[in-house]
Amino acid sequence: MNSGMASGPTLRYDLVTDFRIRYRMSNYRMAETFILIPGRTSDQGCGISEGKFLEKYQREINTLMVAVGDMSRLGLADGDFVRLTSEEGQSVEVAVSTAKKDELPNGMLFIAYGDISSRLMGGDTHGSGMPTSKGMDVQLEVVSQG
Amino acid sequence: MPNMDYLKISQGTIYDPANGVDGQVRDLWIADGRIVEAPTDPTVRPSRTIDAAGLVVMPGGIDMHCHIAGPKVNVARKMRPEEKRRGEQMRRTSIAHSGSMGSVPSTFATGYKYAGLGYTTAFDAAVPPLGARHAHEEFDDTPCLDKGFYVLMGNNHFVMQSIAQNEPQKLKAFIGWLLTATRGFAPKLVNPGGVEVWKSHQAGNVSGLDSDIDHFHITPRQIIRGVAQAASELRLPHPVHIHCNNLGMPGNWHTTLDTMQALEGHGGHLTHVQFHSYGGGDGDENTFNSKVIPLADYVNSHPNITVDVGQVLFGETTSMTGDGPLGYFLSKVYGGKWFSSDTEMESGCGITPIKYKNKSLVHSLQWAIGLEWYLLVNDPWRVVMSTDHPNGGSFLAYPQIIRLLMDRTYRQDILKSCPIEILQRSTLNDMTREYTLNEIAIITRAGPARILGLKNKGHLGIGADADITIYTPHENKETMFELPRLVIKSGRVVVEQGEIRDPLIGKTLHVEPDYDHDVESSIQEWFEKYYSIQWRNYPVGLDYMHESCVIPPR
Amino acid sequence: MVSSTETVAVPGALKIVTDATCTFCGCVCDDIDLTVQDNHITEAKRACVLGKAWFLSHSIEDRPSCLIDGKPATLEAGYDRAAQILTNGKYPIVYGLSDSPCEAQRVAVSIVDWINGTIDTTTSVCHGPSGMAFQGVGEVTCSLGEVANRGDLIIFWGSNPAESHPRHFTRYSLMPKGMFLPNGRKDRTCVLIDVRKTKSAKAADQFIQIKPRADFEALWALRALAKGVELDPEAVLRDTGVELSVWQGLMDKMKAAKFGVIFFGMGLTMTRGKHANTEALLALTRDLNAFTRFAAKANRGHGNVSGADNVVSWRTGYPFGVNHSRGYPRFNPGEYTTSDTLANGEADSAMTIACDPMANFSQPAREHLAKIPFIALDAKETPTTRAAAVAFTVATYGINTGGTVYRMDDVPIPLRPAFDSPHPSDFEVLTQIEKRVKLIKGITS
Repeated sequence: MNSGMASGPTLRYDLVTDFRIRYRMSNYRMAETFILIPGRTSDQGCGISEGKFLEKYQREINTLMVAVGDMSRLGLADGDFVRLTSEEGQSVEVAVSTAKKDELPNGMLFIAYGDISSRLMGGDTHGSGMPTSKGMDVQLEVVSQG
Repeated sequence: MPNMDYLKISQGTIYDPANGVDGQVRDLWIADGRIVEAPTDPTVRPSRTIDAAGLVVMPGGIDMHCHIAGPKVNVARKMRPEEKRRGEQMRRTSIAHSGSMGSVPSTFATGYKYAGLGYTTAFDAAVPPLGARHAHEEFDDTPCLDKGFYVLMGNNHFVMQSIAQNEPQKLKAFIGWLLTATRGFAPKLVNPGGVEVWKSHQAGNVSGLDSDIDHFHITPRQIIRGVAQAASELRLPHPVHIHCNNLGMPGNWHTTLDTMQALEGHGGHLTHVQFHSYGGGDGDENTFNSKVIPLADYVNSHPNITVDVGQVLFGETTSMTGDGPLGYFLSKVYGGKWFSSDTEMESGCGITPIKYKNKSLVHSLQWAIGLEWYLLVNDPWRVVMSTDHPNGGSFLAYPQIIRLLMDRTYRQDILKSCPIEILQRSTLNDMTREYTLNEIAIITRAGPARILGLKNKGHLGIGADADITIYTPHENKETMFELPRLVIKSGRVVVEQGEIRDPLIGKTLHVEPDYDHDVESSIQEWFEKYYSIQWRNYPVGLDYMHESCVIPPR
Repeated sequence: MVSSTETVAVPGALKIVTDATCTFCGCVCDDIDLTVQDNHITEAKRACVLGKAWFLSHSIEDRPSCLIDGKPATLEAGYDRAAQILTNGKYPIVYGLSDSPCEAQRVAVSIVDWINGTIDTTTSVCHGPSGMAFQGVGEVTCSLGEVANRGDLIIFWGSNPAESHPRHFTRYSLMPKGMFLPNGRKDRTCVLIDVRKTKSAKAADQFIQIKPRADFEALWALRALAKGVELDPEAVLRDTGVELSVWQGLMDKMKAAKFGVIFFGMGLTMTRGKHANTEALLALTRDLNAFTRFAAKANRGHGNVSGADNVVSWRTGYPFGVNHSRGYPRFNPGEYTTSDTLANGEADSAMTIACDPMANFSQPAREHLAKIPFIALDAKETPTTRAAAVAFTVATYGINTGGTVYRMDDVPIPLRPAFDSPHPSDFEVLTQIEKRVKLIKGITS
C-alpha cells in the first residue's frame, strides 16, 4: 500500500443549503430533502449468501446511515426512526445509524440495497431500463427519538 | 453392405476439380455422412433419391477466412443494434431459431445463412487463446457448418520471448501446446509485433518487417520466419495464416512482398491480401494505386504461398480485427464508435463501423484490387474467395463476386460507376479473363480444402464428407449461386431452396500436433507469473466440442 | 459442460478442490482451494469475505426441489406447470440469469425463442446503461491481466470494490507485481472518485469527492481539459463540487500515465443521467488515447452477468432487453427491459432465474410481479421464490454444478464443482421446461 491518503478537497459546497433553495419544502412539518444513495455493503453481500431472511442481511438492509453532522443537527441517536418519502410519494420508516466520521457529507443518506431502497424507487426508467436507484431525492422526517 | 441407408444424387452435372471432374453427369451415393461407392448389388435401393438432372453439383463451400464467433465478433453484435432493426429479420420456425442480421449476424442466423448459400465449412480467422472457450461455445450454437478457428499468436509474449532467446525448439513446442490447449486449427499472425507496440505506446505500431518490437527487441520478420518454420516442422495441416503488417496503408505492398520473402520457402497463407497490395506513399491518398501485378507475379512463381482476397463490396459493414492499431486508425478515418480491447500476453482487437462507397476513389480501388487478385493469380488453387467477412463485406456477397469473376461485362459496368481516375491506377479494365464454373469450384471449395489440409472436404471422391451443394444453373451466376436448390451436410439435407430443413450443429475441426511436452513446465512458470487466470483453467476441455474432429498432420 | 469434480483425497472424509471458481462477484476468482466435508465446504482458501460467505453458506438446502403455490410438489409437476404458465401468457418474460452458467443461459434463451417471449438479464439494472453507452461511442478496454501487467494509473469512479469486489485490488488492479510494474503498488497511482468516502478510499492515493448527480458534469469537465478547453473555475466548482485545479491535476496525471484504467460502477449507471454518464466516461477514455494508452472497464456485479450479456448477444444479436413477440429479436431498453415490462404492467407471466426482483426492483414492478403467475429458480429461498407460483430449489453453480462463467472482462472460466446436490441444476430444470414448451408449441428442432 502506498503512503496514506493524500488530502482530497473537502466538499465546499453545502448540499443542504442548495436543496433548501432548489426545492420547496414538503407538506410535512420538519421534513427536509436529502439525497439517498443505496449501495452494496459487505454485510449485505454476505447476507445474500447466508440467507436473506437471517438477521445479518435484514439488519443491514433496514439501517439508514446518516452523516454525523445531520445526526446531531436533527437530534438523532442510533436506533431512532425516521420516515423517508420518495418523489413518487412512497413512504417507509427506517432506523438510523451514524455514518463513519467522514464517509457521508451532510445532506446525504446511505442504505444497503434491499427492500427499503426498493420501496423508494420509482418505476420509470426514463427509457434506459434502469430505474433511478442512486442519488434519489427523499423527504426525511424524524418519527421517534430515543 | 445391403443394410446401409443410402442417399443417392442422381444424374447431376458434377464439378469436382480435385478429382478432375469438370461438368460430367454422374450419380453420387452417400451413406453414413460420406460419399461411398455405388452398391454392387443392383437390388439395393437408396432410401432417398434426389433427381439432380440438369442441376450443378459441387462440394459444399468452404470459407477459410471469416469472423463468425468469439469475443470480438460478439462485441460487434452488441455494438451495432442500429443496423439490425432495418436489416432482414430471421423469424423462428418450428425447427429453427430466430436471429438477427446486419453485418454481424447472430450465431444461428450465421449458420443458416452460410448453409443457405451452399457453404458447409467455415473458419473463424482470429481467436485470442484466452477467448478460445468462448469461440467454442458460439460454435455450439452455430448450426449447419463444420467449424474451426485460427489462434492469434503473432504478438504472444511466449512466442516473442522464445524468438528473442533464440530457442526455436521451445517456440515449436509452444505452438503445439497452444493449438492443443485452445483446440484451435492453425497459427495466426496479425500484424506481428505491431499489436505489442500498440499496447505500450500511444498510436504505437511497427512500420515494417525490420521495426524493433519493444521489450523483446526482435522484429516482425523474425516472428514470421520463426512461426512459419515451427509450423512447417509441426506438419500442421494449415501452416501459418498471416495478416501482414501495415494493413490498409498506401505503399504497404513492400511490406507484403517482404513478408512473402520472409517465409523463406516455408508454406504460408497471406490473408485478405487485397488490403495489403497498395502503392503510393506516406499515407497520401493521391498516390494510392494497385500493386497487385508485382505481388501476384511473386505468388505465381512461389508455390509455397497461397492467398485469400478479402474482397471489398460497396456498402456498410463492420470492421473487426485482431490488429489493435489498425482499429484505432480506422476509427479516426471514419469517426464512428470504436471498440478496442487488449488481451493480456496475447493480442489486441479493434472494431468500428465502416462504409465502402463506389464514389470514393480509394474504396473503388480497393474493390478493383480485390478483383485483380483473382484475375492475376494464374493457378486458381492458390487464390481463395473471401470478403474477410464482415471486413470487406458480408459472406452473403459471394454470389456477386462469382458473377464479377464469370462475367466481364458486368464487371466493367460496375467499374464504370467508379471514379474515372481508377483507370490509371488499376489494370482491371484491361483484364478479359472470365472464371469457369470449374475454377469457381476451385476457389470456393477445392482450393481452400487443399490449402487447409482437409483431405475429406472440397471434393466428391469416395470417402469424402458428404457436404454437397446442388445449384440450379442460370445465366446470371449471382442468381445461380445465391439460392442453391439443395444443400447436404454430413449426408443430411440441411437446406432446400433457402428453407432450413435439418439444422444439425456440425463438427469442430481442430489439430493435436505432436510436440515436446517437456516445455510445459516453462510455459506454466511464465503463465503463472503473468496471467490473471489459473493455469488449469486455461485449456479448453473436449466437452466444449459438439463433435470433435481432429485433422491429422500433413 | 464440466461436471466431473477434480479432487484430491485427504485422510478422513475431507476432500480438497483446487482452482475452484468463486462466482459471487464479477472478479470470478478461479484460484480458490476448497476443503469439503460431508456436503459442506469448511474452508475456502484465498476467498474474500464475500467469497467465504458464498462457499461456506451453500450447503444442501433442506427444502423441496419444487414448490407449487408454496406447497411441495414433484419436479415433473413443476416442469408441467412452468411450461403451461410460459405458454399461456401473451407477454411472457424471462429474467435474471446472472448467477447461472452459460449452458443454462443458452437454454433460457431457447425457451424465450419458442414462446415468443422477452428475455432480459440483471444487466438491465446494473450496467445496462453502460451497454447502451457502449453502443453509442464504443469502448477502449482490456483484460484484467493487462491491468495487472501495465496499469500505472488506476481510477475507480462510482465504484466501491472494497465492499463489492474485495479482491479486485490484490488480484488485478493495485497490488499485483506486473510485467511492467515490478514493484506492484508502489509503481501505481490510485484515484477514487465518488460522492461519499467509501471504504475503498483507504486504498487510494487520492480521493475526489464530487457532488451527487454531477458525474456527467465532472466527466465533461475532464473531456474539456483533455482537449485543452479553458473552463470557468467557478462554474466547475458549482457544477461538480470540486475545484478546477483538482480536475486539472487529475488530467495531468492521466496524460502522464503510460497505461491508465478507469473502473466504473453503478454510481454512474444508477444515478440520473445513467447511460449519458457512462457514455461520457467511455468517451473520455477514448479521448485520452490521443495522448497515451487508456482503458475503461465496468466493475460488473454478479458472477456470470457478463456471460449473460454474451449468450444473449450471440443468440439474438442484442445484449439484454430482447423481445421476440414478432418471432424475431427486437431490442429496446426502456421498453423490453424487465423494470419496464413489470412496472408498466405489460408482462402477464414470468420466469426468474437466479435473481431476486421481489427484493431489488422498484415498488411498482414488485407489485405487478406479485399479481402475475411466475416461476422462480434459485439456490436459496428469497422474497421472489416465496411469491412464485412454481419455485425450484436448484443446485448452486460452481459449488454443485459445472459450466462456464465469464469474468467481468469477458474471459470465460470453467467451474469445478465441490460436491453434488440432491436438487437439479438450473440447466436441468430449464432443459425439462424447454422440452415441454416445445411439445406445446409444436417445435420439432
